[in-house]
Amino acid sequence: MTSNTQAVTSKTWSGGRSPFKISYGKLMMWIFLLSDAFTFSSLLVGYGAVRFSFPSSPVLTETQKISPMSHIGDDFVEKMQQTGIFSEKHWPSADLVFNHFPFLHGIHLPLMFVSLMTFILIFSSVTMVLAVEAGHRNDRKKVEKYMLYTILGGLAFLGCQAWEWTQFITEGSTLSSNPFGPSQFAALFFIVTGFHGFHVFSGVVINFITYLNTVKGTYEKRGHYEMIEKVGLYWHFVDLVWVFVFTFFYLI
Amino acid sequence: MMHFKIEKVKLKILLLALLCASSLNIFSADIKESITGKTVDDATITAGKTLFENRCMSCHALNSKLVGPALKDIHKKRSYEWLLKWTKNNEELRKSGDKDAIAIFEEFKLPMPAFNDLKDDEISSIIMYIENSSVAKATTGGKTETASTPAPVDQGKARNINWLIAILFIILISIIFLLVKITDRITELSGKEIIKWDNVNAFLLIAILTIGMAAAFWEFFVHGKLIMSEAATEYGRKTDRMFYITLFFTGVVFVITEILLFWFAFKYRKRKGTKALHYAHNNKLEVIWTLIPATVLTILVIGGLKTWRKITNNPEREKFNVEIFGYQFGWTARFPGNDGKLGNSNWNLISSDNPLGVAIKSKANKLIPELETELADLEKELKQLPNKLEVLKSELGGLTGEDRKQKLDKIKEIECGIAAADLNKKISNRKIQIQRIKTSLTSEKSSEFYNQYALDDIIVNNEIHIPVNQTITFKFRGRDVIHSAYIYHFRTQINVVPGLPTEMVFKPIVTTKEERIKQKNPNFDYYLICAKICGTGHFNMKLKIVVESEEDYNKWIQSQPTSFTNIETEKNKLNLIAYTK
Amino acid sequence: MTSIAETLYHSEESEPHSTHHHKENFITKYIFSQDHKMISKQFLITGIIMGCLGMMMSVLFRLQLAWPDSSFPILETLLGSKWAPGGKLDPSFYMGLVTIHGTIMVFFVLTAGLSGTFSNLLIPLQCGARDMASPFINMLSYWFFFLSSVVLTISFLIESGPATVGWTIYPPLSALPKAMPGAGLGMTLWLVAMVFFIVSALLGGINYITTVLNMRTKGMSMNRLPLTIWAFFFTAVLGLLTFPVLLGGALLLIFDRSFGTSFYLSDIFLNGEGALANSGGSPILFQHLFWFLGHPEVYIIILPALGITSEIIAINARKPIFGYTAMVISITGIAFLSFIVWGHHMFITGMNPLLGLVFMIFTLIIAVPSAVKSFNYLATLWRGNIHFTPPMLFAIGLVSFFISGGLTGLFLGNAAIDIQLHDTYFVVAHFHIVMGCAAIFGMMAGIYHWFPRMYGRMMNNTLGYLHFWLTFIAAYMVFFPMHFIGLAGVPRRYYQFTVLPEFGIWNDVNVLITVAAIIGALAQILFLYNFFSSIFCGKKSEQNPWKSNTLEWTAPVERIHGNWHGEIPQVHRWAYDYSKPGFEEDYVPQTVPVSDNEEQLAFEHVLSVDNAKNEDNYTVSFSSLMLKWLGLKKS
Repeated sequence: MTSNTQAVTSKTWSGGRSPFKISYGKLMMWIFLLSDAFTFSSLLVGYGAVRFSFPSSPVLTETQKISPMSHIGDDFVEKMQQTGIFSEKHWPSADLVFNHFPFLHGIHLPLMFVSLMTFILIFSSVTMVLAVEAGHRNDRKKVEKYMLYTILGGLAFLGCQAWEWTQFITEGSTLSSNPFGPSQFAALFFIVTGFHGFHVFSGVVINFITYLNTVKGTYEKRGHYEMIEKVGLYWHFVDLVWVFVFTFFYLI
Repeated sequence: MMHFKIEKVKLKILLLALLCASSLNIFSADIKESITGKTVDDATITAGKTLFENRCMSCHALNSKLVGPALKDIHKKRSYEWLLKWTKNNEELRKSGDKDAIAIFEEFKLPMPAFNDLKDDEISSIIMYIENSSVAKATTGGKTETASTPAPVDQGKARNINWLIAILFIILISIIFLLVKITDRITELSGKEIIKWDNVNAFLLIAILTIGMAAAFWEFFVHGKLIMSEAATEYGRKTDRMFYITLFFTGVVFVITEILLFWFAFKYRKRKGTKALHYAHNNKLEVIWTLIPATVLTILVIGGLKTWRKITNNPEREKFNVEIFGYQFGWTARFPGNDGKLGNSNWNLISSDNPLGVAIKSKANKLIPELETELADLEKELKQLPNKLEVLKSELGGLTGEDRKQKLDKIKEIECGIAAADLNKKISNRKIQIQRIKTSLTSEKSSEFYNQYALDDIIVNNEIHIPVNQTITFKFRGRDVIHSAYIYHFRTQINVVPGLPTEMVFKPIVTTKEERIKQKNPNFDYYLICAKICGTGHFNMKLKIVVESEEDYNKWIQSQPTSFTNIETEKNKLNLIAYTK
Repeated sequence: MTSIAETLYHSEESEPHSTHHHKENFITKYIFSQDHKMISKQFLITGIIMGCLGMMMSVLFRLQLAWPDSSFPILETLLGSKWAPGGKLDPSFYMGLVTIHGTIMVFFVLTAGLSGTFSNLLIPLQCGARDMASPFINMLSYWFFFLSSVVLTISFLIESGPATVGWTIYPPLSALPKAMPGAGLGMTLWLVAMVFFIVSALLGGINYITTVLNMRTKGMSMNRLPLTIWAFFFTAVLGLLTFPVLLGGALLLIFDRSFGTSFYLSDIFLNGEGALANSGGSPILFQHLFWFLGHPEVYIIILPALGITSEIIAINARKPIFGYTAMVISITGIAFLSFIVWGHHMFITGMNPLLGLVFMIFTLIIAVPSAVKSFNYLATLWRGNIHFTPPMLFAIGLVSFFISGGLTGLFLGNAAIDIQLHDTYFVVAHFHIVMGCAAIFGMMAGIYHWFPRMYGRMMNNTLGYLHFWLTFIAAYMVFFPMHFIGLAGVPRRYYQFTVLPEFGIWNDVNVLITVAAIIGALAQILFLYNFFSSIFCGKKSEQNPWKSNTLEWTAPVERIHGNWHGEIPQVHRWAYDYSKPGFEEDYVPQTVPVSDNEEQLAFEHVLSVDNAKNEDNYTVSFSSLMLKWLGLKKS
């Protein structure tokens, strides 16, 4: 039984190594993100089921069409309700609901603000990538810089989301009713963007902790910046989910 | 154990007695007078019993608390006038401040529905029936009424028997443990096994296999006989056939594999000098025993698909519609009347006057002021909450025990804001409901919604008749939670979901009379019952369905009064106010 | 990838704790332990306690069903006059018992107690790792489970009563606090408990998957893993992907209950509340979200039990498990298919018949891998050398129950037949036999078998035999007659069978079932005594009492942090070399190297990664195997 001790060659799946060539910490992050993806999917599927149980909003007639950048009065919502464009019977059209922009009160800018938010978040993902890349080169200063930008981007996004929510609430939307259409419209808006916003917030928190650790020199001592990669994965996931939320909620 | 055996035997005797005598519903009145002041006679009691079974039994029993309190001796607790008021509209009674009424609501939380369709003498007959049944000598009675079974055995004796059983059990367990310890010790000391467990286990494997198989077969024949009734609908026969085919395949597999399992375990048990065969795989075998189940399953799938398509894709659906409305805890049917079409309905129109929420304009008009009064009352109650709090606090002094606790609970409810939140919710619901009804009355589609089809609809409770050999479509609506309409003998079932109308399409081919002969049971009836957890009274929701020939059905339906026509002929007299937005 | 990073994942794998020697006090050793073996024991004991609670509840409601006209004064003493007035169970409390019984058994006992215990114990030990990938997260996973158990137990004791709406918590009943007593605070606490439970399951699952993928020891390729690990791996994958969907569904339910939203509510008039304003929601949406978890959940329950059985049958028959690759493919097939069959719980909701068609097809397909597994068990027994140990008896019992219960699933999976069987006692019989009997027997087999690994002592055999036979006979006596009650059309969740006269013929059967259930429940006392007393006074076990090949028996009996003294053993062969010709003993542990002149079964040879002809042997091996199966390549 002890004749030849065969050298066990180390092939990809033969144990003693990671078959995906990544550490267990990163693997766990990937797997957690997979499960979180399913949570968001369930909410989005719920959104789809509710959304498509209502007919779509009617097409605006020629006279009703509003050109972008045109001025819409303070009674915009009432007018839309009276002409039946906003009605409990059909799902409202997102570009008529989300048409505000800070400092540009009364100007009709359909989906402009949410596009800005998307841009901010994508930009913060870019800075995240740059931070990870800097981490590969062990360039501590650059990692700090880009992590800071990412955090600021995240905070900006949260601020924008808060502003959007405030607009929505002051116009009279609650979880159980809203002036634009069926009650589920606002409820889903708050729940889906709220759940996502909670993820952004926790992402900002862990980014901040990682930033502090970078500044303290923890990762320099360790010899690698893998933690940046892990939080980077989470941040990209949050960004990707936003793309889906944005597509499904605002565009479809 | 004796106590339970006695119960069992008594039950059996009762069942037999009932089978012989119950169709006659013989009652010898056991009481001499009634609190209703009316003369006691058998006919009234019998009528009361029928009413009790049809209207009260889904939530009440005589001897035990179900959804509502036990009704035995209710005549000793409450006065006749109070019972009349309570039955007809308990909410009104509660609102008027009646303490007893409020106490009952506090205990049960769920309000009793208002039976304002029952006339005084109908309620009297029910009371008389209850009075009669409360007297301990009830010997016959509905099989389905737990009150007529003997009253529980003397509590003290039962307690003693329970203790005896518990002690016996402890002794038994101790003996087992002692035996185990002893045998283990002896084995340890002597090195020889006292009980050769290997042999015992081997023997038991084969013994249990044999006994188990025999028991399984015995059950198939004995219990199987209890349920082998032929389906009473056309598609029911088809699903039964699917069932038997599946049973054949699964039965064969069951017998073969279980026998192999126990037989192999026995045959290849370890004995002196045996060695296992190091044989780890055989791909051909794997393929074979993958393909054979796959083939069998394909057969079952194809059969199932065909049958399923036929059931769900019946071209004759909606030829004969009956709406059945499911609610906590009963079923109400609505027939379309002479025009063959059912009127529209909406949950916002439901009231004690219009329990199905049928779209009748005058009823809707009548409902609005009622709702507005309710709304005003609610708002007043909300404003007066602080006063109520003071009153409750002042009443607290001197109370003890259960009363004190209940009062404290009510105080806490107000202080924590729960009472206010509840009232606010109710207020906003009412407002929205009123708004919706107004919109429906004034919109352009109003006359389309409140169309004339509803006017000749016939609402039937407790028992409906349908013609044999006709494709029937039951259209289901739910009022509050999910129920499931299940008619065993028709082999039909469909969920009843609020907000999602569903339907059940089938063709009954055996009339009730014929089925009674087949089952050798002159009291047999088809019933629709609930098969999805829906609340406390889930187990007591039923609707009798009588299948009869077309002429008998026609006779029956023509004898049913239409439910709304009387109102409509007076429509000119009602003050129709046009509501503006 | 820089060289530092490479050394990173190599070094992390083999020695995450080697250089630490923390001082352990009572708290860190027994309570907030990060050692996977201790955590597995924590899961086990919490699972057993919850199981006792669940079983007691079932006895209580069986008393009501068997003797509906009698009163039991003891009930009033135990439960108070609110829940058992006059010694008879209150109807809504009865439903509370049924609900909490279901919840405890499905989630707390059979998910956490079964896969939590054995995944935690065996994954590091059988894969050859020092501990789980993240011991800290592992500890969190247990404590969330504990918290969840506490919350659920509290929900049972509060004044307004436990949740009474069935373990499936369908809205609108569960979304309307006024619809039923127990739909209020009890339901809210149930939801809170479940949120904690889902977090626990997810944290655990992440750990299990990562450990199996990343931390196998040298030579432990995927196809040398014991079948237990394959089973736990796929169970974890299933849990990871489906529990989040329940979380989403439960989140929407929480909003519907407390915040006035209308996801599941529409067109409701509630007696006492009036017409509700909710409109546009669909209760069926909840059912889809729930059963998307609910169905894979039952496979999460049965797969670990099946994995454990494979191992125990092979060991006790002294034979390799028959058809290892077929078993792995079956597990994969079951795991994959379980995602697309959830609709068979909803055949009679009135959903689109085409959907019903699709779900029926997949449901009946999933029977194939299950059948393949059963046949493989039978083939393993054939010409074996069977030792009747308690774990072996329980494993045989599992196979018996799995066959019986699986076959009745064929009736229910057929949509046309399901119409008359849905929500009747037939369904109750089916799922109890597969879950309440088969899966529990798997758990018992695992406990008896790995008790020496957990506690260094053996459980008493005699008590084990008695426990098995009593439970086996009682279990069949309880659940076999239920099929007939269901076939007669008696719905489930009924407080009493009085609604129709013809249901009265089953009163005697109900008594039989209840008496058998009481006997079965009492038989568990044998187990409980055996388990707890053996922890302290059981016979000390040897290193490898069952003469098993797998790695966990090479670790020292006394528990050490890091599992092995010194280096982790390397693996040279698969786990099933039992009774191999050419060896004196009838077992060859995985750590024994393959000698040159050793005859390898052609099958194994292909699997062996020591066949170093090609770069990535895993791919070659698998495709080569496929070609062989199709007869296109000779061995």
